[in-house]
Amino acid sequence: MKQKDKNGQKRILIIEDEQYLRELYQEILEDEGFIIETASDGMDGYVKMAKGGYDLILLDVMLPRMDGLELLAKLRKGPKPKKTNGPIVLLTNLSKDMAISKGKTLGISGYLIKSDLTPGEIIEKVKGYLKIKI
Amino acid sequence: MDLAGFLVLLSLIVSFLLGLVVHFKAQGVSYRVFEVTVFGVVGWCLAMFLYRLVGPGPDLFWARALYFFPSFIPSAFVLFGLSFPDQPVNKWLITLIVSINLIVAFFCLVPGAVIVNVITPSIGEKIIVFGWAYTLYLIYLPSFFTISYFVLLKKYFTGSPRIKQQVLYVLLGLSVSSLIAIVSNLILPTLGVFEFNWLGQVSAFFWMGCVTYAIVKHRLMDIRLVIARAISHFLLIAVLVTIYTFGIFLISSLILPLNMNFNQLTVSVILTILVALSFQALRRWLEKVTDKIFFKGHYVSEKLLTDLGQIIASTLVLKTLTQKFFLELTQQMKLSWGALFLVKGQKVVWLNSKRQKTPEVSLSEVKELVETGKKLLILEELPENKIKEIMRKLNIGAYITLGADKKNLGILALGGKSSGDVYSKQDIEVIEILAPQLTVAIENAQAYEKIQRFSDTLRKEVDRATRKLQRANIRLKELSTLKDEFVSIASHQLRTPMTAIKSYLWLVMRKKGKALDSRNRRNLDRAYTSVERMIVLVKDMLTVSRIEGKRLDLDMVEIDLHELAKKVYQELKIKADEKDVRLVLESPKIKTVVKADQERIREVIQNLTDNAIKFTPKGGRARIFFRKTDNRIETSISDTGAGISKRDMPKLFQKFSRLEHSFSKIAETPGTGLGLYIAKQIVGLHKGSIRVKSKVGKGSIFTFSLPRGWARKNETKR
Repeated sequence: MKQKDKNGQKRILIIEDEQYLRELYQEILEDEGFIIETASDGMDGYVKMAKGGYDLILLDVMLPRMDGLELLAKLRKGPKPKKTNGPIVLLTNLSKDMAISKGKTLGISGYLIKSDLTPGEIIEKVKGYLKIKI
Repeated sequence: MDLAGFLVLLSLIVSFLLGLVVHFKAQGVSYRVFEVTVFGVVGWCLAMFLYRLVGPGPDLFWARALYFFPSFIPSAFVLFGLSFPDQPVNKWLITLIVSINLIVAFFCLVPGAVIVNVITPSIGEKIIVFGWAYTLYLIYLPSFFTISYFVLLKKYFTGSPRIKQQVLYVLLGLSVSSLIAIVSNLILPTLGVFEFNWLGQVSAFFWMGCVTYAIVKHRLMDIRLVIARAISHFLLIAVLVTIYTFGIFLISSLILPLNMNFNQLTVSVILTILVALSFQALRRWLEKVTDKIFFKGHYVSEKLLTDLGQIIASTLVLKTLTQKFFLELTQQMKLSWGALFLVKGQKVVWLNSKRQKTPEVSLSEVKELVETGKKLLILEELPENKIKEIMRKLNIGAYITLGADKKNLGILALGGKSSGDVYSKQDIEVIEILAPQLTVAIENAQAYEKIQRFSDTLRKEVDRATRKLQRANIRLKELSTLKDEFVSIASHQLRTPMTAIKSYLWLVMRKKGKALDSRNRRNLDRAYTSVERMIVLVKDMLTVSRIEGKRLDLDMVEIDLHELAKKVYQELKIKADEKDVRLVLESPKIKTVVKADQERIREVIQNLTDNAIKFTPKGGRARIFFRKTDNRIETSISDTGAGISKRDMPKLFQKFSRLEHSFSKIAETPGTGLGLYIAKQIVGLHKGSIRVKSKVGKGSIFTFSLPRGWARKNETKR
């Protein structure tokens, strides 16, 4: 329980349009005790990110209304969020996505290839980004 | 000094000068010999001049000289002929000729031998009294001239064209002047007539001139022409004067008792010469005047043919050709007009000179005319028939059909002659010579036109085809891009639900795993493996699409193959353990750094290692190890699987290859059939190579090598 309590202090924002995946990630991460907030499109995601205060942001690349890269670019141009955000991790389907290299120039900390990973692996990666000892 | 004396002096000077020209300009033995001839002539002229000038007493000496010097002329000329242009002469022959010459010359100088005395009468020329040796002289001179004549004739027939030309001039000079000299200076004096004994000397310079010209300037055509004309003119005058003088002489001395003295005779001879000299000029002037008045057509066929021949050969463009052609023809032949009527399919093509009007011709008329053959038909000479009717209607004076073999091209039609004359024989001949030339020219021009048209069409055709290809190419590129995009989007779209399936299956298996019976557990496991396989398949297909569209971008960086293999090892270790296959990664003793795309090469290693684990039975072993060759790093993955039969080897790296002796029995999950193909393509893109060694029943070793590259770079850095 100690561990989960610790996790409970961490706020994670999941920006993912695919409902099943979003809810799946939400479910498994909440099971780990993280505080999860979600956004289902780019605009929504941007509004939430601009407010800030997340320890980790999982950002899908292909999103309606505003895709992940546009979101990152807009965020860079705009004013600094009131509360600082933790690392941003890109969610993608492809190992060789052009978005990865572009995202790196826009300040992402890393990327997760959704199709290659099992939910268990995702949890591990998330913990890694949050520097939580597994 | 009288006129004869003056002419002799002139001849002397001219001969002397010509002698100098030969001396300085000509090289060769024969020309040196010729100088002796010139010496004889000059001496002869000098002797005559002085003989006529001095009074009784010394004149006997000059009379002897008058016969002494000419003795050298024929003998030297024979030798000249023999050695001309540069041939050796038999020594004995030379000795013989020189000896005879010297004997004759000697007799000329001996008092009383050839010449006994010179008598000066009160009226007329001095009379020479000949001695006993004169007969010898009389035989010697003409016979040697004759010999020289034959020697030169032989040269003419055996010599080269150049020699022939030269010899011709020499012979011409020789015949003219030796004839005159022998008559005036040998035959007449023998008969007791001394009045013309100076003519020989005068004629000699003409001979000298001919020979000198032949030697020095034998190649100048125009000068030759001038000289030839001068010669003919001169001959005409000589003949006239001779006939006239003899006529007067005969009439005055034999028939009529006209007491004509020498002075009267001289005057009348000079008058004759003047008339003869002015005759040509006068005739030309009169012709010009009459030409102007009567419009008389007068041209030189050769010149016209040459001029027109040049025009015909000058261009391949029919229009230009005919314009120039008819301008020249109508001008020189003095015609009202001229034109070509060519039958081209169902049309008649007019071609004529710009400045002239040509009648309108219909196709049927031309066709009618064309059929009548290839002789020049002249209006006046035709009987009354349809042809004549057409000709009259079209104002055609004469025409000729142009065409080779049985193919008629059209007609060359001409108007009338401007003078109103009928066509002359000369005109007909010229036009009949021109017709075939013109035919060839037209055929050439038409062939040229055809080739040009063909070449134009060809170029257009090629251009069109090129444009078509370019369009097709652009379209293909668009299609290729579209396909790429499609595959890319499709794989994205496919992956999302597959990822969802995979993740939920995982979730079920993890959370409810213990509650499931073994059968359900196995079923879920199979669903999970299948969806994973699908994910890989979609990924591989995208990669293949990019490779084949040459759109696979490589991110070349320095990577350590061993480090890369470590990651793969860590990922696949669990899988290998599950299968009870011992996976080994050997630590290399060499530096394993290459320049490559990290992600792609990782894919290759993973693929090969995954295969090795998959196809190795329980208790087997898979091993990753490295080696170094000259400039490459080799990465090998070996297994202790069933091996690959030789028959299957060629198919191994092909797309979707299914091996007959498949390992699928051994492998729990069949592959996508793209793994090895992609591996080979990726290694190829890195300028590397991939190979396999295998023994059925023992196992296989897959090895790929990559160029080192880094070593040199590091060296340069230092």
